[in-house]
Amino acid sequence: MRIWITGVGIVSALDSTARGTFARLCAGERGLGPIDLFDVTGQRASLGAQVRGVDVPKDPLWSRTTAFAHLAAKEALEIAGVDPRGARVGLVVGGTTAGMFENEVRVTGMMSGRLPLTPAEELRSHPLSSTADALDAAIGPFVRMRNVASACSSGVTALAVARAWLLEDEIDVVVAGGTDGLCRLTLSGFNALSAIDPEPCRPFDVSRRGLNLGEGAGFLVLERAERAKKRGRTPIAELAGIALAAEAHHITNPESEGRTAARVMREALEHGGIGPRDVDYVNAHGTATPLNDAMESKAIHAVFGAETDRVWVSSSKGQIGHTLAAAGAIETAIAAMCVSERVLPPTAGLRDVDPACALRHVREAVRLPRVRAVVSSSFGFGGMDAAAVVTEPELGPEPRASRRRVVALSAAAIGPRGAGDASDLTSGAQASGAAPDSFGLDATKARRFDRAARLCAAAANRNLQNATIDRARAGVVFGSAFSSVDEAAAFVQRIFDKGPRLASPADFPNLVPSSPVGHASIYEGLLGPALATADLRSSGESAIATAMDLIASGDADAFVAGAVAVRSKLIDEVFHPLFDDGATRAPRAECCAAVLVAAEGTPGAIARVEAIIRREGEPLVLTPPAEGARVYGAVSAEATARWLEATSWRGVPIESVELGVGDNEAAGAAAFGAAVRAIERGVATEALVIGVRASQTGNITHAFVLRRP
Amino acid sequence: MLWWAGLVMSQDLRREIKELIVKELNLEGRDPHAIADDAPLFGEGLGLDSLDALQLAMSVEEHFGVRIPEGDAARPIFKSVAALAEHVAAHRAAG
Repeated sequence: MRIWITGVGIVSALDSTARGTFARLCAGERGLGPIDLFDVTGQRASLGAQVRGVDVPKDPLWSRTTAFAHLAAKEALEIAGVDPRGARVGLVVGGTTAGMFENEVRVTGMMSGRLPLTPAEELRSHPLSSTADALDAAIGPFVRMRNVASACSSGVTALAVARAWLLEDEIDVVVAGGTDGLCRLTLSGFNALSAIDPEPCRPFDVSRRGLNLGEGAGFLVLERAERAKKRGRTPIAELAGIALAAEAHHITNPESEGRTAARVMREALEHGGIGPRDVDYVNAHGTATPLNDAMESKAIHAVFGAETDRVWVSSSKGQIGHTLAAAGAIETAIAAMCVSERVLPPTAGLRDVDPACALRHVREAVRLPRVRAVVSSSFGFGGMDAAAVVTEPELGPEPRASRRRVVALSAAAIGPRGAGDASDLTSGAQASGAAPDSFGLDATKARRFDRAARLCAAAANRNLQNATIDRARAGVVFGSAFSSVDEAAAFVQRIFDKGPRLASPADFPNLVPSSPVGHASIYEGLLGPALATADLRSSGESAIATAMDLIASGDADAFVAGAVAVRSKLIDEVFHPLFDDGATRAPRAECCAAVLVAAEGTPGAIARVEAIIRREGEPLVLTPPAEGARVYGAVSAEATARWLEATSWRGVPIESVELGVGDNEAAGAAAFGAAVRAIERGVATEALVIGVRASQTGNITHAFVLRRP
Repeated sequence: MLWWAGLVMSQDLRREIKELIVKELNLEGRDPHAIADDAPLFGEGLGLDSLDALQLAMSVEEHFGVRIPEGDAARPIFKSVAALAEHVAAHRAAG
């Protein structure tokens, strides 16, 4: 199955269209200037690539981040000639900030007592899922939506999920990409890390001093070549390969030798069945930080060997800044345009090449007779590395298109009752409040962990204790509806109180939504993909579904997949009530639950798992239950029963984990864990795990059917 | 100032810095007094890394009002607790 890129959309500081951005990139224009979106007094550096002239609808669900995504996704769909009302279109959004700019002053005020802790409507744009929800209403409906975060590689991670979805018949097209907007938190955070150059940045230059932050969005329309041909579309380029992997090394610093960076480039090329000889250009991550560019240059040398002298390299970050979660998608869109336009944009800001970065740098736009294949790399905090390979249509052999089946191997849950194997969550006294403080982690290895990271690492550890999986091919994904919002508010409050110079460098990396996952990956040495998902009440379901997608597609062989909901003033008092759908009356509780899932054939399987995702109005068609089947849910049995009314599972006994883990956004993962244990112990012959979350445009149902292997 | 008053001050300052290191860098379970004055802070020794260096520089600025220069200029200052204390004492006095 070949995947074609039939549409691209870009919003950047240079232009609010893909074509405009690409033309200006090639002309060497730089979109850098003083950031004036908010007060930057006292910031070490405040030069950035701010997007101007984009209107944000006056709707509490919308943020600048979402407005960028809207423009870029709309452009991509228009270029592709795809209308979500007439096809089965999926949406994958990579993002890390959502409405942080709009909300950071308010949540900081709430946290410090200046403002009342009330579920203010204005905060609807805070969850990362707000972008997909807003896009669904504006340009949807989408048959499936997913919000992913892997720091600065989020955009490519979104494309990997999209590619996995296209292996399924029930998806025709996926629009996927990344978006992020500037905010006080990220500017102060990168400044605290001394990672920002006060001057225009200089990728690969001997005098480079750091990055300039940017903002914007990049989206690509992906579809099976066969379908695109049928509707008479010529592609911009082919998405020949993608690879995701984790360094499991350090929360902010890249591996100095670029081992994993090289690995993802190599694997992405292998995916596409092509080699270094076929590649004409690398659109580098090239952030202009001293560490990244040296590491990346080593990785390029390692992958391309003797071809390094021939392969052109440039970074777009000297022109559009580092757009964080958008970067990987924007740059893959640029890569696609390089193939179709046969022009390569330069590295602006590069004067004297660092001997450690000796590559064939594009100094001024280069026009070539052909651009056969382009590699686009992205590397994120926590060592989340990704590479995409974009080629001329049908350059390499057609990749295999089979989906692998997925099995569950174990389960663990941590909550008010302590840490356990998730087998006892549906009975006993009602649990509420926080989990105990001791997680049995190595204090030295865990010294930088915040509470979410401790919980995730402990849950991962419990799942992996007796596992015989290959950690080089095992990933980790945790869902979190609202991320570490109390800590984010405290970080910003400190800037307001003490000035940006005293922003905490050590606290900032923990505020990146994928940080708990990064810590867990490092703690356990998991080298497969590491990412976070966000999906309100279905955050656990979305994480497990994503793990299954990436195992099915061959991006990983196994995943620790779960969700975390930490004890939090802002979540308990503000965000939970704001998004509450009334599906349970159980008290709030802290919870982290995870399961180990793997490709079928992995020894030790407890259950075979199948995932079904439906929007409101679509029938949930399930194979009728066997004798002894049970349903597992995270909310009240009455609510779960309502969702099953129109299905063949109506009347099947329902077990709820609300007794064991209370009400929280991670409970869906606990319900999944309870189902795994029920199958293992013969309590159920087969199990249905069902979770439903509300959105502006109707309910979204995640259903998982577990059967003995 | 009597010569020994300076010595006592520098002992106090070194102790304060050690406590700051343990607290700010979450070196849970480590006894601040067990950190040797001349032990290297980074690489071997305490095993701290560049993110710790940034955090320590920020904490020193907050706690003592003394700025640590960025980049390579910070290396000799972060060589050990003694070197850091010397830098803080000199710049606090100057300020």
